[in-house]
Amino acid sequence: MENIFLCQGAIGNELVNAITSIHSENKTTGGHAFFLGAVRNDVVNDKKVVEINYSAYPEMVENEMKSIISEIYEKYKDVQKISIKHSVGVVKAGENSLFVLVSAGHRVEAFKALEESVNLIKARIPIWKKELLDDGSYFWTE
Amino acid sequence: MKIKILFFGILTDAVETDAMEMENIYSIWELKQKLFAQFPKLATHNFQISVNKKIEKGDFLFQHKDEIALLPPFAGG
Repeated sequence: MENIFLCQGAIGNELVNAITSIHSENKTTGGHAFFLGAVRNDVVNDKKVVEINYSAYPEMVENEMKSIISEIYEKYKDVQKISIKHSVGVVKAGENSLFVLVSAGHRVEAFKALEESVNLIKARIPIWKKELLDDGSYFWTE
Repeated sequence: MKIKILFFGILTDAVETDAMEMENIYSIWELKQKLFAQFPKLATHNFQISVNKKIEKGDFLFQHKDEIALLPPFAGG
């Protein structure tokens, strides 16, 4: 899948490390703030969520992610680099499905830009989740 | 005139496919009428419509080979 924002399956430590290493190359950065979203084993009607199958509209994901990143750079001038990865396909409970890393000259803008980025991703990125329960049934999150 | 229609999320259950082609449908209004008649379950869901990856809020006139997508509420993260 040729989409720099999507990752097939769970987001593993290797990917997180690789992205963080790239951000660390800039010696004018004062802080890196990150969000790692995980799949919870919520209980729904006495049944446990065992995995989520994420689906996406990849071309629109790419366009919207680029818009969000541009808006964040425009608003938070101290932000130097933003990386975003979202899972598609199956992610099991306890595994990670969203990684957002924001590097800035100073912590205050890094934290603010991170929170706003995650909120915009949740509101505007065309991704859907089908939650599979431990009895084999499923539901779509709306 | 031919258009491509993509379905996502819960809407794939309502229409039992994720893509189809239609001919001689000229607007969002007309597309909805046609789809709701063919798949009544679809009318029970909320969704937005994009044309060539851009969300269109009102009615919209299609062109040949447009890619239309029916997008239920996003649930990323």
